[in-house]
Amino acid sequence: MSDAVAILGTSQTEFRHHYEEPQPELVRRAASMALADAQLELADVDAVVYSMAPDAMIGVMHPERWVADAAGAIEGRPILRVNTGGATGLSSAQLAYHHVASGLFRTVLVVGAERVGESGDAQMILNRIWDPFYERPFPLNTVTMLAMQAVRFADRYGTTDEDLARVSVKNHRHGARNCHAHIRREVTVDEVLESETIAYPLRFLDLCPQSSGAAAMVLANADVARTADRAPAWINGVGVGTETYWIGDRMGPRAAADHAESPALASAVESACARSGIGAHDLELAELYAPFSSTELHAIPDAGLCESGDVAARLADGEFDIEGRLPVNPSGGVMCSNPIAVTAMVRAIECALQVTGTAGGHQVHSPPTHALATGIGGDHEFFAAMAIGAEPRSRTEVRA
Amino acid sequence: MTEPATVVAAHRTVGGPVRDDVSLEELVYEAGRGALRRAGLDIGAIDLVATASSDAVDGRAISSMVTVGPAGGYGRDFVNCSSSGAHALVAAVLQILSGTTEMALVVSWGKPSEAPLDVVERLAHDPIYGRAVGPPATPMLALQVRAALAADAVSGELATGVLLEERAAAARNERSPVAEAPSAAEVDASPPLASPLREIDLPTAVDEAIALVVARGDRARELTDRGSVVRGMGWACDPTPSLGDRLPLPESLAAAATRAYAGAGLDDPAEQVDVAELADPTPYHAPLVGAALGLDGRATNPSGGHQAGWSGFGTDLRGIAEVHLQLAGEAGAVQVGRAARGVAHSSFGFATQGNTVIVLERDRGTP
Repeated sequence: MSDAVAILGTSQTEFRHHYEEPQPELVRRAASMALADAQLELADVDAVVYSMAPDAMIGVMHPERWVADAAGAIEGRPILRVNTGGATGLSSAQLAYHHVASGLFRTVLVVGAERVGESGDAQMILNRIWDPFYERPFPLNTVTMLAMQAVRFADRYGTTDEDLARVSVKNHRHGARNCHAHIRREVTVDEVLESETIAYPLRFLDLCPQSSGAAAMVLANADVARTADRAPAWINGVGVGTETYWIGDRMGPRAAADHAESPALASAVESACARSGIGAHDLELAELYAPFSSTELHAIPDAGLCESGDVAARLADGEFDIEGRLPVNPSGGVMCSNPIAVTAMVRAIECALQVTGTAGGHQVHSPPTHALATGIGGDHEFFAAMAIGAEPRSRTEVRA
Repeated sequence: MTEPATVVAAHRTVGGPVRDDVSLEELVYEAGRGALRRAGLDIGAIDLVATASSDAVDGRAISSMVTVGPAGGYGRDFVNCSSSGAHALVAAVLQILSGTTEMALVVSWGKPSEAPLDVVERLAHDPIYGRAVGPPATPMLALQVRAALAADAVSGELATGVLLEERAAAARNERSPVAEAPSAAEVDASPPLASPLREIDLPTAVDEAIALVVARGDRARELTDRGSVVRGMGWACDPTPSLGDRLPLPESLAAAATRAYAGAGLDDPAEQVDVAELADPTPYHAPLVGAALGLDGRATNPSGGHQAGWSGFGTDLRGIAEVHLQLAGEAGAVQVGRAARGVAHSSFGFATQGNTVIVLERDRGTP
């Protein structure tokens, strides 16, 4: 059992609406780019984790069998696939972390690709995540589900449509600096408020795009990391939480959790930070999985970065801007690119880039020592968190 | 020294091949509850739930969403693999070895009565080349068996013997919903499907869910002296779903076995392995796979193998459960005697494209 796990290399393609390349070619491209970034060859890789959310997104059942070659699972190299919906990218990176931290593998490649337009509208497919008898016919999709969440949050904490718009403005301003982002244009509060209402209070410019593209990470143990000619980022802690499947179980007097918030995200972040030997107050940057502006409003306090009642004011004060005290989603986040299979992995990649000072046009002024990546999957059901640092944190030190 | 991961308890749901008395969620709950009961635990003792699900077979996008609750995952660590039922165990063991988990509930399932597996499987062909010309799963298996016959690696007589033995074993196995053992005459009279396969060669589709309690070694020994230590794990997938030049057996089988045996320190599996549960989608496969794994054919598939029912992902995990029950001396009417070490093999994909090999060993106490 080893302690911290290094992020030796990462890759992201440009994210856009459509790619001509089929799934295996996108996977191969991302894998090759990440290996080149890590200055390793495929022969150096001991195992592969394939990150792919619902099969239906690309219209192929069990695509891990189709892309095994492209993902590098040749010559008997182990491969398995993780699917936790929107959290898949971070869940995959977490399982790759466990490959290395178990001591059974030295170097692991985690890779995935998304061609979300392959099977029509993503929301049509995402309606199929709900129960066929009760919830599917509403019809629920992720927009209507989170619109209800946004209304509930606003009712509890007094947030306004303008507060939602300010999240969108911030993230679009960040995304405009990110060469990988799907949406690279700034918007104003008025533009957001005047955009078409999709499901109140969520308007068109409160929502993420449907993105295609690929991403990969190369993880390695400390021995391999020592051979690298530049300082890697380190995964110092991981955490997971889950909530109920039935949205109706998240409201009313017997609710285990309230649909306005996500206590399972809070517990996932707490676990990741505790395993890193830090508290949420030590975090200096966060890439939070927030496909809609409303998600970020609750994810910031759920991650322990402020109180729920303060989030709107702090946002208005610029505290979460790229130049602010605690930048949140300096990449533009999910609102500017949402290639579902790898969206949550990109959160970890962006944290790794930031702590190593290699994020390019959206690099924060002073590279953070501790950063947080999160993922959310299902109907706000699966939550993953990863604490990423500029230095490795040994587990022995944490215990002490 | 790092504590190993140990299987503490296993449970297979019971009932007929078609479980139309329960929903998928209820079936999954039944398995998890059964494994916890056998381990003497309640769900509060579990810190990780690891599942394996197939969206296509379950008929839902992100099907683990609806099953994570019945599997006991709410409020705790959770991971879901979608490549093989056996990969849920792999994920749990990796997390135990990495030090983040002490006690895991591992669950997988299949409810083919709600999904025609042969139709669903066709969607696994790639949409560019394979789907236009690709045959369903059964002809792909037949082509694989044909290649084995051409290489004199197996014979029809041997396969018929395996079929009769496994169906008889399945009929004795109280955990198997397949209760009828055919006669040799009935086998001979079975209509052809895809030469050389006959209708009776294919396993009966069954609804089932399987759950294992897997614990860090020291925690396992607090619960039982009948644990099965996971000594070796290997998993791999051949590069392409098409048969191409990977006949008769895929390279991933040897790769998975090599890794698992190396982890377990096995160099003479014929002598060192007492019992094996091998994936055999046809009766030709058990002897083929057994030979490839270096096993001598003793105590192979005492549970009845796939002839005790096939559910896809659920069956992947069932082989591991059956080996554990053998090592624990809890296999009931199909117990082979006092076994100390066992191998569980599972496969997935067209003509067994992917393979997983797990080596379990009866816990001998503190490492």
